[in-house]
Amino acid sequence: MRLKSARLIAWLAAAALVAAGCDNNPLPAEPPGKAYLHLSLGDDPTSLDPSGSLLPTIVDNLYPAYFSYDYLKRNPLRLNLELGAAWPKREPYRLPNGRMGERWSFRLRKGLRFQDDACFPGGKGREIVAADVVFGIKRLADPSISAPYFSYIENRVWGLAAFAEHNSERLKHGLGADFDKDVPGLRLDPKDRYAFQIILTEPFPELKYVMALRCCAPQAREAWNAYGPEIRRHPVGCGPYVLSEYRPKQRLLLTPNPNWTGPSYPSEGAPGDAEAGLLDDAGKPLPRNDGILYSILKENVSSWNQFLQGYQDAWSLNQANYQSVMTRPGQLSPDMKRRGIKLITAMIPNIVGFIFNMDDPTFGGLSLAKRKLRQAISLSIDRQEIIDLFVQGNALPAEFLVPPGIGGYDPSYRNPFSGPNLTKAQALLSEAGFPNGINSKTGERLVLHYDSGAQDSLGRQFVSLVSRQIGRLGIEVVQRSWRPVVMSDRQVRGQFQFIGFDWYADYPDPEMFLLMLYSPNKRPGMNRSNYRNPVVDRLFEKVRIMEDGPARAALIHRVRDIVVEDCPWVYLGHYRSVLISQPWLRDRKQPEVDADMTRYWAIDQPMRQRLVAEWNRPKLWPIGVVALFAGVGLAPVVVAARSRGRRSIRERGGR
Amino acid sequence: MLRYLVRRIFYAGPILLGVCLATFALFYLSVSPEQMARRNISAKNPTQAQIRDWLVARGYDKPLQEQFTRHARSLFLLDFGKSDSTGEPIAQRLRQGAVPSLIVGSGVLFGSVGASVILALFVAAFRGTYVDRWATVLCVAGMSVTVLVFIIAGQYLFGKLLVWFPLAGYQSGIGGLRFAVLPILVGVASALGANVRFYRTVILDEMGKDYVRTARAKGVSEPRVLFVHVLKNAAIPILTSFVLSLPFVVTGSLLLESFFGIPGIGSYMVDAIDGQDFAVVRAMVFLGTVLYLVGAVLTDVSYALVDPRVRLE
Amino acid sequence: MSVLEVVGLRTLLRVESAEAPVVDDVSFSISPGRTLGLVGESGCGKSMVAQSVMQLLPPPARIVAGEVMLEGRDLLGLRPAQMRDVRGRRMGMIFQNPMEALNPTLTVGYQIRESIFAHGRGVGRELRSRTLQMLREVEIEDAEGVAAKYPHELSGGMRQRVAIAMALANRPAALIADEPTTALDATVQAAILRLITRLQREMGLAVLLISHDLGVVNEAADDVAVMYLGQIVESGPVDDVLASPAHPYTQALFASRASGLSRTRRLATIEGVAPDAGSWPSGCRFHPRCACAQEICRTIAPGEVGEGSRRALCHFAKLGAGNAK
Repeated sequence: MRLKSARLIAWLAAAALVAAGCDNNPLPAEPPGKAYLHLSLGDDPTSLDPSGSLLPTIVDNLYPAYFSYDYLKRNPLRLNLELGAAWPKREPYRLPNGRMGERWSFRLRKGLRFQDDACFPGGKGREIVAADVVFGIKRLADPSISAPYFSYIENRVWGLAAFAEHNSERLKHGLGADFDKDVPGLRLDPKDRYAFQIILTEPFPELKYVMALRCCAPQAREAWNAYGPEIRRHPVGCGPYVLSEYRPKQRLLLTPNPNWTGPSYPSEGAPGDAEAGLLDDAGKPLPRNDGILYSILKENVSSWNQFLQGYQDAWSLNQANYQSVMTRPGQLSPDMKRRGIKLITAMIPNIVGFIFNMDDPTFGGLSLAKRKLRQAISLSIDRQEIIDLFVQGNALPAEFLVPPGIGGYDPSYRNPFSGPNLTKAQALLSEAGFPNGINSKTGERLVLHYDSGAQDSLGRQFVSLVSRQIGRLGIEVVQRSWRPVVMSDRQVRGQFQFIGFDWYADYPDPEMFLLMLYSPNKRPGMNRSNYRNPVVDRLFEKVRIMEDGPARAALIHRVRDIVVEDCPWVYLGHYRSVLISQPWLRDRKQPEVDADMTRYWAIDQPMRQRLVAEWNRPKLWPIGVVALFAGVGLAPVVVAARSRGRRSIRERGGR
Repeated sequence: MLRYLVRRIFYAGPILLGVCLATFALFYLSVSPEQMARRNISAKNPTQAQIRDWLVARGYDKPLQEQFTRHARSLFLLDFGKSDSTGEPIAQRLRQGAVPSLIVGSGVLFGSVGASVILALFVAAFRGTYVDRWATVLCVAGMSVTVLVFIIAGQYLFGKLLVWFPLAGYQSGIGGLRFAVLPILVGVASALGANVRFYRTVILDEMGKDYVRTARAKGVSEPRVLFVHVLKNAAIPILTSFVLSLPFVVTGSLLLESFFGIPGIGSYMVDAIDGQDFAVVRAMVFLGTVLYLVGAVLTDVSYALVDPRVRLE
Repeated sequence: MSVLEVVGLRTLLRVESAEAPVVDDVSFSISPGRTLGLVGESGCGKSMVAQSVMQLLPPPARIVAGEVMLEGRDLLGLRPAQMRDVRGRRMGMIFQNPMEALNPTLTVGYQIRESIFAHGRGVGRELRSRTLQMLREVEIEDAEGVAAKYPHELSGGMRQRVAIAMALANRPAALIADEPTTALDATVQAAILRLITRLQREMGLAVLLISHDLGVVNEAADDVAVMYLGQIVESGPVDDVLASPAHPYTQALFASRASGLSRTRRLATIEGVAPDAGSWPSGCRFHPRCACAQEICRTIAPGEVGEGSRRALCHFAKLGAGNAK
């Protein structure tokens, strides 16, 4: 009886396996005729509130702004009107204190509507007016949401800093932000409900880029009144999509917003786009897909494997799978080619490198000897070796802060202190008073402390490679690794000599990079090296308020030449993101700015269905094999036990 | 029984308060509130004003003593508050995550106990044969391999090679069953080695006892001896290990959930520690302590239920 | 006519990789209403005889030869399932340690009931009334109260009564009592022995009483068989054997008892220890410890000497002397 029940259980288990299996599709069924884009996220978005969100993913699809970046055109990136009706009028404006500021006049398109939501009367999204944009900007001054982009406009929009201070004061007494209070720099037109003005305390040409950020999207006061801070999980937007399903830690579903009227797919592109088929859908309405389904999968391995099974349409490569996808830079592996996977690289303006603490008694300071010391270290770094080893060559060795695609970038420029050049480095080191890394006065070896937040093996390998490269000069490099939270604290407090540092631009303007050299931005600001050069400061103040062009580029080159000589930075590279998409994903071009443009992506649904079915045929024969092995393996004992159970002692006899 | 429960509840108070205090002290020793703020503000470079406002909004600007009494009081009233980083009500996250965690966790627990008992009985019935020896080898091998290896191997084998189950994902309802099969299978497999070995020892130990011989001398059939007499006595140590792992069913399994995309609360605590989300850490530590205390009481109660020699005075 | 008859029983025990006899050519028979006392030092194979008869040997032991006849049925020819039905129904058994012989997690009543329904007899109320009746038969006053109790709530004597009730619940023909009183206090011992004797009389049981204690055997048995190293070295009616032991081992055993049980005295009487199975001496197995061993004892195994109802296994058995007296 025991044996029989065991066998029954085994059969039931096998049957359950077969019944439950056969379909490994992890995605929920889609409505007939609809093709959702399948993407994955590592975790819940921390916030879907456009004011509080740093990351563009999802939020950009819900909250469009006055401008948006052109999907196809590059170099330079171009702004198009998204919600705006006309390019803003920019004129000088005299502030009451006599200083000269600027007035920008904006006008929204008519007929724009918020998405339908219960917070509106009758549940229908109401028309969007200029006051909604002003409310959105005011929300950045709500101290309880720590708005990430607030610092760009805080001191530039007239009266906004005072408004923020007023709200901070209220917060101390447990009160919410006072959105009824007027901000003098944000003006509505009593005659035209679609027009608004922003008055700046100083010229700020980059305001156009800020007006392309999600944080300046129109927001409905009704939504804030109804949901309060919970709008970070209950967005009420006005974009091409609405969030129609949100299951935390599981998935998010965006579906097209019926209230959306916006630009359609561009009919002009950058050179090569037409050949790549990117203009095939020119003029067609957006969004180009029936929805976006984001699966939340914490482990990279799991989502990567789902991409390989065809259940994810796009994937952005990371350290863990560079090797399995690419044989050498720019080359897909044969397996990926066979699958028809498409490779896309893009560069969001960024700089990766190292900074010295300019206040450090040994390595800081602007004296000639200290400069030479830093230049020597800069010359010891082999940028290409690091890039080849750690990002499979997917980066451009950097000569200065400003990356390609940004005003002031000069492709022909070579930094005289770019490594590796050990001979020159040794010479500089001797001139600095440390021949072969030995202090010529005291005879002691020069020690460089290299602090990092490296936690995983890859991070530690990076640190030791860099240390080895510097060590070739005879300098003793001491590696110190900290918990990330401690490391960021030490960075802010200036408790370091030499650290890795990277930065990416929120908008494509050189100001984004040069601000790291401006002394008023010293720690805890972004000038983490505490670099102070009055000449550079003055030049930066000029550059900041100029429009891009040859004159501005000339000033940037002057800044560059000074800074390269002072050497507060060691420039490593401008990193490229490497992305791959499934063969059925069409119209994908990666934006070269931090923005979410998935609304342009289209899916060849028949191809997807065919390939996914082909890639996922269950194999059932192993059940038989396992059963056979188990049967053969267990048969002897079972047979023995049975015969023992049936025979008397006398029958069993001698044996 | 009632007196026992009352006493246990009395003891729980000071323990919970102590745990609260320890969490509070340890967290403040390891991170300063300012570091916490810097880690949680989403801006690339938070301003000093933003850091100050962040601390004010969450009450971290108050004197430590006041902070502690406030935190402890709200925890004891089971008011977990909101996450420091996302502002999400912690109770809501727990409610949403508990069900998936429970499905997978209880599946693993019951599955592993059930499978282990069956296998252990089987192995015990064939003790001394090659089946027993091979089972021991496999058990030791299974014990020395980490869960991670089981997960990766399970995903690779059943998800990638055989294509029987979704690699990862979750759905509620009956249709979601196929998502639960693989994580449960992997969880059961990873627990099997240690369990079967332990249960086999327990069962063989019981099978050698005198009462088994008495039962046989009465003419009781062999299955009855095994399932009624032996199993009832073997249930005592098995139940202990079972009840002790109950709290982990509620709090979920970190690795299983992360790899299989189960929207549970297995990684809630770890993520919170990683993200310096003190509100979540202290709530989860408190909850974990409560569950542990409940687990201890349940162990005692279950002892009393299974073993008539045990009485709760 | 005998109820239980054992002829030439031989049981081997696997020790490491070799098998050695632990029961070697043992024969005896018990008639209804009679008690055979089986005595010997511990390790001599008494319990092995009992377990062989019940076919409850632990896995490393097995029966290789002989006959076990119960009420004329050849038990060794029965299939395991048939034998299971014989156990507890036609032949009951009680064990030495009542503390551990009962299942601690089941009630006394359930365990008695189980021995009835294990043989498919009785259902529901009938089961219950028979259980209570059995408890009363073993002289338990509060039968209903005791039936609901767990073994740990009972004294040792009570537990042994329960064990007896379980063994006799189906009115078997034979009872095997393996050291039934060894673990009990002296006063309780006597009561249990009296109980067994009374029940035996009432039910006409054939009893195999195994004990190392001659006093117990003397009190309760009609016949006695003395075992040494797997063999029955002497057997006969209790009174006769006690009065004039024929085998030197029996004499030594009795002497150790008669002399007030002083430890030193006992050691002097039977020197040395019984060797383990597998390393038994050749010739007469007792010769290394025998006071009057001769050359012949070392080389030639003695044959059985018999006179009337008495048997002995010794070259120099003095059966006549006892009778002459």
